[in-house]
Order: sequence, then C-alpha cells, then structure tokens
Amino acid sequence: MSEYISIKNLSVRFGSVEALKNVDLEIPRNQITTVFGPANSGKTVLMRAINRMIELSPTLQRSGDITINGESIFRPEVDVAVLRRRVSMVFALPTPLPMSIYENVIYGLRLMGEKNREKLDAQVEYGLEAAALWNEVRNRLHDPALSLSGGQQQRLCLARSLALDPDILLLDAPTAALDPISTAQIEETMIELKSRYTIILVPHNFHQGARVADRAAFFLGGECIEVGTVSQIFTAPRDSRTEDYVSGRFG
Amino acid sequence: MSDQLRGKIAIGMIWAAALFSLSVLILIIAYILIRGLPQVSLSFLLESPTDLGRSGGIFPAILGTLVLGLGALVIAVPLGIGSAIYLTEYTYPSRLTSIIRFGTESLAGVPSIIFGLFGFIFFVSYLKMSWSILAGSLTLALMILPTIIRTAEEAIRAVPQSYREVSFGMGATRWQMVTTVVLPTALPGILTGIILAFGRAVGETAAVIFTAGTALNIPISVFSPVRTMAVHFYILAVEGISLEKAYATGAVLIITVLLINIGANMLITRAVVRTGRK
Repeated sequence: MSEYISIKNLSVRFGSVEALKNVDLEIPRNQITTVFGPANSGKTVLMRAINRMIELSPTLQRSGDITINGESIFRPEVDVAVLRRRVSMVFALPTPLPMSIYENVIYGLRLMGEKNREKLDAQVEYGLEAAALWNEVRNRLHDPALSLSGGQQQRLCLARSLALDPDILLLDAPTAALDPISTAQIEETMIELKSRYTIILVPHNFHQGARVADRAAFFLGGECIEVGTVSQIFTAPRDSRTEDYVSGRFG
Repeated sequence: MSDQLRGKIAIGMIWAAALFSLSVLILIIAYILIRGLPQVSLSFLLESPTDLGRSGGIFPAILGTLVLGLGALVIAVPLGIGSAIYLTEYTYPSRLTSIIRFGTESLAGVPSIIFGLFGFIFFVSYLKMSWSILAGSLTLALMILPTIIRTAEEAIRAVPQSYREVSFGMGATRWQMVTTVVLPTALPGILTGIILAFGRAVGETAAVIFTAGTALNIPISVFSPVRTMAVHFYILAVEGISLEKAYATGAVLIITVLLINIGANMLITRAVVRTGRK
C-alpha cells in the first residue's frame, strides 16, 4: 500500500476549542477513504486542513504536518491557490454560485486566467461527464445553475471540482441534503471516479462509508480512534469505541 | 374583546396608516405636478432662463443638477464600496471597525446645511476652489458617503458565506473572491444604495447653495459655478421671482428623480434575473 497523503501528529485548535488531537493517518492513492464519526468529531476540520481552508479562521493554532507525495503542504513556498485546486473540496450543501451552469464549471479555470474557449468547453464537458450530469444539462449550459434540482446542483459542484483536474477530492457529506435517488447517483459516480482520483469522504451516515469506501477511519472527539479496511472496521473493530459506534450504541 | 376582533382592528389600523402615508406622498406630488406641469414645455427644458428666471427655461439648472449628482457619485461610489469591502472582507470585527462604523453612522445624521457650511469653509475658501462643480460635488460626495457605505456593507454581508468558501476552495485569492463572487452577488443591493444616494444628491439644496453657487450660466468646466434645480426652485420661490416657474422646476425635478428610480429598478431586476436568483 503506497501512502499518498500522510497526516502526522496533527493538532488543530480554534481559540480554546481543540478540534483535532494528535491525528496520525495514512491515505492511499486511488482509493476512497471514509472518515466517519459522530458530530463534532473533527472530520470536517481534517478535510479543511488538507486543503488549508482552516487557515481562513483567525484563531487557528496548528501543530504537526500533512504531506502529499512526501512533501509538506505547509512549506512556505506552497501556493495555497495551487494546493486548493489540486485538493478540491465539495461541500455538504449544494453550493452552486449564482451564475450559469457553464460558468460554474469553469469557475476555477477562470480564476487561473484560462481564456481559451476550446479548452474551457472541453473541461466543461469533461467535468459534467465525469459527474454524470452532462446528458441532463448539455442543451442548457447557459441556464442559471440555481434552476437545477438539488441533486443536479450537487453533481454540478462535483463537476466544478473535476474540471480543475485535481489529484484529490475531499467530499464533505456530499449527499447530506439529497434524496435517495440522487444519493445513489453520486455514490456510483464516486466509485467510478476513484480510478482517477484519491477520494476522502465524510459520509452522510456510516452505512454510506461502508457501501462505497475501501478504507475507513473512525474519529471521536478530535482523535483518530482506529483506521483499517472497511470490512475490518465495520465487522471486526479492534477498539471498543468503534464497535459501540458502528453497532449503533451511540452517535 | 375577542382575539379575532382585536386582529381585525389591528389590520384596519395598519391599513389606515399605510393609506395615510401613501396619500400624503401622492398629494404632494400631484399638487406640484398640477401647478407645475402646465408651465413645462420643450423650450422650458432646453432654454436658458432670462430675467433671473422670471421667463425662459431651466436648461442650465437641469445640467447643473445632473453634473453635480454624477460628480458626487464618481467620488463617493469608489470610496464607499471600497470602505464597505474593507469593513466586511478584509478586517475582523475590532475596535477600529466599530469606530469607523460609528463615524459613518454619525456622518449620516449630520444635517446637510452643516455639510454645506463645511464645504464652503474647506473646499470653497481654504482650498480656493470657489463656487464650482468640483466643490459642490465633493461636498455632496461627503454627504452621501455614509448611505453608500451602509447599504453596500449590508448587501455584501447578505452574500451567503458558502459562496466565499467555494471561491476560496477553488483557489481564489481574497481579491478574486471579492470580484468574482461577492460583488456580483451584492450588486443589486449596492445599486439600490447608489440610487438612493443619487436621489438625495439631486434633490439637495442646502449643501450645494454654499458650494456650487447659484450661477445661471451653462458650466464650461468643473471649476464653473452652477445652480441646481432645487436651488433654482428655492431662489425663485423665496425671492418671489416667479412662483409659476418655481413649480415648473419642482415638477421637472420630481420627474427626473422618478425616472432615475424607475431606470435603476429595471437595471437591478435585469441583474437579478441574469443570475437566476428569485
């Protein structure tokens, strides 16, 4: 197993709130790793640490390190803009920007100053195709993105990330606001995408993690309790807290 | 008394209040239009006044009003939007921002005659601009600045936080985030504030009479003095020159403000429809 993202003794505090405590976690390439646990267990903060979104908070204190391909993302010469395009995030609620479908998908490319029409068109088709939305919107690319249904909006957000050709996808409960049919579509898409991307998924519930992921990491109170393959974590957890959680005793 | 009856009485009183406010507005506008409109003709709009305004038109005053108003916007809009962006996107709430906010709010409560006096002392006398479009526009700009800052700040604050997160998440710098997401989304609200401010500037008398002067000539540069429609109205009425021409000027002023409002509303509606927000 080749580690790709490596989180080493990471602690994160916001003011007096301790969000992550000495987390160690290895994430292999081209797999889906699910990070699950009850509310406030630090899952989202972990995701936001990997693309350095946590730095938007003025009260942040961090120690420890995260490396991608062996290189620390906190080195001073790292450009956060480049990092965030390489490590792209999809949020829990569908968040299309108030512009057309087309403009939403190329938003990241526009920020990079890409003006070549053909390149932009190609990335729009690629992103929407990969997010399984192309056939539904190909004839209305210039309609407002807010006219799409909730499930379509979330796939659009996925397309927006994919159009940047990232290496890593951070999916933070991407189906939390969706109906079962849209959820199933997104889950299928995730499984198709893992051959090309490394995916970290905060599942909408841990059953989702069990359905789509290869590896699972259980978080509780900002600590990484246990990591393993999905079948090991969900059928034979080593830690009693993991067992209590997956068997539904709390959470 | 039953709850239902109480509710009905409340609705009746709210209705009466709304009706009263609306009828006062309509009464004022109708009165001025009825007294003024018969005097308004194409030549009244396009000719210069003669005999101090007793006869002839008000073309220089129309021009002066628009030039002063636009001049004030050119100065106040960049400053106002810039301040609003700074206060909302580039600082965290602190003692400094609350002082700035307190300052702008106090500025909004200052009577316009005080702005006029300050403009006269500072721009006209001290900076030797004399009575001019420049001095008048600067004074008006100071007067409308708080309105623009407040409305722009509120419009920017109303932009969903998730838009900012998405923008940063796609690798935007703070400035890119502001220009690609925050400003376009807040634009209708910002425009509303600008229109409000422009309406105030166009109808202003006290702040400009000391700073832009009362000249009835067509201005040739920003250093020329001008007379606005509101000042023209005031002088015609107070000095008893011609009440008919005063009302005609008032009618033109009201129609100008109405047209600006309608035009701006259409602009804002178009901006909202384009982005698909309801």
